[in-house]
Amino acid sequence: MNTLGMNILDMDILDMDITNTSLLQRIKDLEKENRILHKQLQRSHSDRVQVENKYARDGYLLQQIIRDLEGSKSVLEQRGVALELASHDIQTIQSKLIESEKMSALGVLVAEVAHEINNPVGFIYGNIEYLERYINKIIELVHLYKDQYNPPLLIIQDKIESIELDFLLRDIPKVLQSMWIGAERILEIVKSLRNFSRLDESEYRAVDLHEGLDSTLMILHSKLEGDPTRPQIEVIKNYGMLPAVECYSGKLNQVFMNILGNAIDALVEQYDLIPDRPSRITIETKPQGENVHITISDSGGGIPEAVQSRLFDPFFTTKPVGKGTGLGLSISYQIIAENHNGKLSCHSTIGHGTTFTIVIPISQADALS
Amino acid sequence: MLKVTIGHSNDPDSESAISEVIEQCLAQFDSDTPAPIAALLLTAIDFDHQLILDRIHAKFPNIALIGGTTDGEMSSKLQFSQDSLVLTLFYSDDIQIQAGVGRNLSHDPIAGAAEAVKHGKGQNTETPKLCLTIAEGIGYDSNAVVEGLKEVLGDRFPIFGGATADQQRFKTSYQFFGREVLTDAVTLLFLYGDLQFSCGIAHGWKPVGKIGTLTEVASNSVVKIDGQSATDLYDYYLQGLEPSPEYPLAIFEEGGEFYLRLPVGSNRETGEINFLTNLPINTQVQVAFATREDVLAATQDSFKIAFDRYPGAHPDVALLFSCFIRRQLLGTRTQEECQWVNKFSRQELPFVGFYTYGEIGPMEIGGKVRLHQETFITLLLGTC
Repeated sequence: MNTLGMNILDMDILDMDITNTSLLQRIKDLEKENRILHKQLQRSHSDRVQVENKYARDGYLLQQIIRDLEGSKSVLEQRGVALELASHDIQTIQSKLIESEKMSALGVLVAEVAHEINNPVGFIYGNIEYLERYINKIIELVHLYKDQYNPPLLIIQDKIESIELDFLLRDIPKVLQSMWIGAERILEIVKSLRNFSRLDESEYRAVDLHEGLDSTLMILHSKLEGDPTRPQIEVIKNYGMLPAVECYSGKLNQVFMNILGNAIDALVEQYDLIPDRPSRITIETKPQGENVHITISDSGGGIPEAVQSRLFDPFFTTKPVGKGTGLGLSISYQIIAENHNGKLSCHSTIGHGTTFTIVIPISQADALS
Repeated sequence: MLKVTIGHSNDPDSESAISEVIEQCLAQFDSDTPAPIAALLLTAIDFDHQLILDRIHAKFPNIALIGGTTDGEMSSKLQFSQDSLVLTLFYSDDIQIQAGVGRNLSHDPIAGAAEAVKHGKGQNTETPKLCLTIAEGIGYDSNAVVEGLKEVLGDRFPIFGGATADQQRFKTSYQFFGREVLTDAVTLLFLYGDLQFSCGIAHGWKPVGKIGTLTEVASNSVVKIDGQSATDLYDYYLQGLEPSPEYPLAIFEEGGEFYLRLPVGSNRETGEINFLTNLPINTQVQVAFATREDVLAATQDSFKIAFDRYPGAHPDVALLFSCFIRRQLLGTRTQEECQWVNKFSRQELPFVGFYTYGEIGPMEIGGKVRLHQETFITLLLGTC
């Protein structure tokens, strides 16, 4: 059979060739696919093992990191608390240092003011005597005129009455007397301030400690006096016969000021609680061997034991914020122990008051040898 | 003009795969295309490499060919694939490319590198613009061959490439040069002419946990960390499981910068941990960790940096070098690494790359070249 110039047999062969070619290609493709799948299968097993191992490792790693983080968290929390406390302490210390610096600057200012006032007050005090003498002479002269020109002229008579001459002549001595007292008081205060403010001494000087104590009491005078809310604080001085003591007197006065200031505060506080108890400070001094002993006692409410153990710690205070720096007694301790080779101790019984005892050598050279 | 054609087959049969690949390359020829001047061959470890090279030689007898075995291949033809074969042919009438080889790296890597440079430059007195290198990744301090190349070419000469791999058997990997299948060798291509290029490198790992100091090292092993067996540090985190490359050591440099070195095994008797390179003694180290998201984010960074810095109008090809551990960690998401190319390129851009035992390149063009690990390097090449 012939169809379009090609017999049926030829067409079958051609179809078969085409079919064979596509079958071969198909087989080839399937073989390739098979090879790829086979390879991927091999891969998938090793990949699965890798993934499982990775999973296990990740698990352990993360567990450990979580444990570490928990540890770090608690350490950080503790540090946070410690830092908070430290920050609070620093703030407290900072405010106390500022306060302390202010006090130090005030001391310098007081010394300078005292120095500046001293000379003009000296002029006043020195001239009152002359003024009194001159006025007395003038008064004598006035009396003489009154005796010799009696009755005086009308114009003088009028003047005598208008100026109340009799009153003036009676009052002038009183005015002068009060000027004397005032000037002497100023001189005393200036002397005390200068005595107290000897902060810049670089060498020991032999001084009368009683002067230092009295100067300090003078400065505290207004606090010792009573007011409508509380009675005057009685100061009993049992001064012994002390030799001149080698010391930095300005620093020692600072110690007296701190102890006496605390005693006054204790008495004021105690009066608010138990008004019937007497408000009294007793100061005793005595020589004992190579040393002098100064004890300052108050009749206040006493200091609890827990507080006594921290009394000389820097920045420790039981006073309200802004009232005390917490440095007074620690600086006092340092001044006595380190600057004077002495001892500062405290004995206190609740309900019976507190006694501070200062023991310092009379001669620093002897103490050091 | 720089043009590339890429053939990529995942057929495990060597004969079929190379035939398919050559066929794909030839299909991309057109009448205007000059003869290819160079070739980059990247294959899985299990192929008959000699057969493949013979077939290429038969088709392109005088081509400057380098390449090597990998831990995974990628190309714009087949995207990411394992157990595959990629052939990239380079064509240009104004770019010149010369190949070189250095051998016996385990004996003297510095001398091997110098030999490769000398061979590659031949009689050419011009200064090449760039060096592409494929070097042995196993059995010696692979960092030393990079240092050797730098010693001859200069600290800041742009060298890019990767170390050959063997699918994590850590026994033998191969390098290809012309018709030769080599081991223990470094191969390179020098590119001359008016070439434009840029790079981006990123990894994604973050140091975690305890910081230690390398107190004893021996060759490619870390013996002691903080005076204790090196394995102790990993045992602390992995509860006695073998140190694994997914958890590399971050090696800290002055200024707090760090690079990564991956452990590939340990000796439980001596407490040593083995690495692919030497590690510097008395440096601070920390175990590093990355999630798949971290790794992929770093890949994007690498692309972004490279494309942002490309000095010309548009690159002609992207070469990608990615650490084998990235592939292992990414698993089924490995595809995503190379899929970012076209997003950043904004047009079809041919690319080819492989998963390495060490990536070579500077952090930026003009920067110091280093052997990296765990990184993704994007190298963009072009002439305009």
